[in-house]
Amino acid sequence: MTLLELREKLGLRLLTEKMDENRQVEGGYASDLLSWVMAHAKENQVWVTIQSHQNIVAVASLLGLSGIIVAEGVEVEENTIKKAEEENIPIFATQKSIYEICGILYNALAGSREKC
Amino acid sequence: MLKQYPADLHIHTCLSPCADDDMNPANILNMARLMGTKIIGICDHNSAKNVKPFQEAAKSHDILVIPGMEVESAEEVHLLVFFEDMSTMLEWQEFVYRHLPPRKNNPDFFGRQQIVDEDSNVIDEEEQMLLVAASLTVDEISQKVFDMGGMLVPAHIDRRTFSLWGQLGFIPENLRLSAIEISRNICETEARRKFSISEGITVITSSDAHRLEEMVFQKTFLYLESPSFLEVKKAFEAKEGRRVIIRE
Repeated sequence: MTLLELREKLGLRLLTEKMDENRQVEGGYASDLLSWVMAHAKENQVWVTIQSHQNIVAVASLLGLSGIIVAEGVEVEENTIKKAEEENIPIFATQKSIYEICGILYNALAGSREKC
Repeated sequence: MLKQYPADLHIHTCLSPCADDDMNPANILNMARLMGTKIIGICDHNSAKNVKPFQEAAKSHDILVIPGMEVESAEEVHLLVFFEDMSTMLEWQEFVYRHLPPRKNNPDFFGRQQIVDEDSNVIDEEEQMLLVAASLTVDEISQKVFDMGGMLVPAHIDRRTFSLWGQLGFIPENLRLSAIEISRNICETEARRKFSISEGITVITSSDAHRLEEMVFQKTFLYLESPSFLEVKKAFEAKEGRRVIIRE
């Protein structure tokens, strides 16, 4: 699935200025403990969290994540968005709960795999 | 002439629901005296309502009590905050209380939140639930604390949860802080390597005592002209020869 498909299927709002629409999303990951994410998330996954500190960008960049979804309507700090634009990491926002958005993401990814 | 002052800057009192009910001024100050500790920080969760009675009681003990608090940020990071005097501490406390969710403590589940007087009598119980995150980010806390002339020390950075490392993955770039606290489970050299703590940042250890018997793990020594908040601040900043030494 591409980032463009991700945004449309999950009804996400893009907070960063732009994104590479054709960038691939191969899986998802969810946790709010950044040390845990650093140890367990994998390249090309999209990460669902409610943390909004700018360290989330550094973690995503370091691991080569496709993007970050900040769930539950949490407001994302301005510094974080600025940093994400510098690092070319798209940050999406959703009002949905982590549980809901992960469920939708899981099904969307399963569907896109069946197609190939 | 600089003198050595053994210090334990992170001690909970009976105000913290998770601490023993006998963590009162008489017991803590006598324990500190037995251990030779000369400077203590009283750091309860999100509250400083027991600091004053400790300061009063410490007058007969030759122990400096620094007003402190272990505040929990929105990211669930525990941060030690210190101020020079009680009036600034109370101003800070009011600010924190305004950012706590209005929820009452359940003493049966979490433990009692006892407020004491200098003679160690329980005079009140705090109703506000203290074991919660304030709606203040790490960055907001740092900025406010330094604006108010205080010191900021991220607590037990080596813990998996409730630490700057656990919650935020690593020490954020550009975050202003005074020193970093490590728990007794890790030595300074290993902590500096594991958490990439630069040489310019002072590291301290504290007991984080919730029980009297936990106050025995004291290994941080401050080299100061005299015991005072400003001298401790200089030691954290390694200014004018003042410094912090950890002995394993």
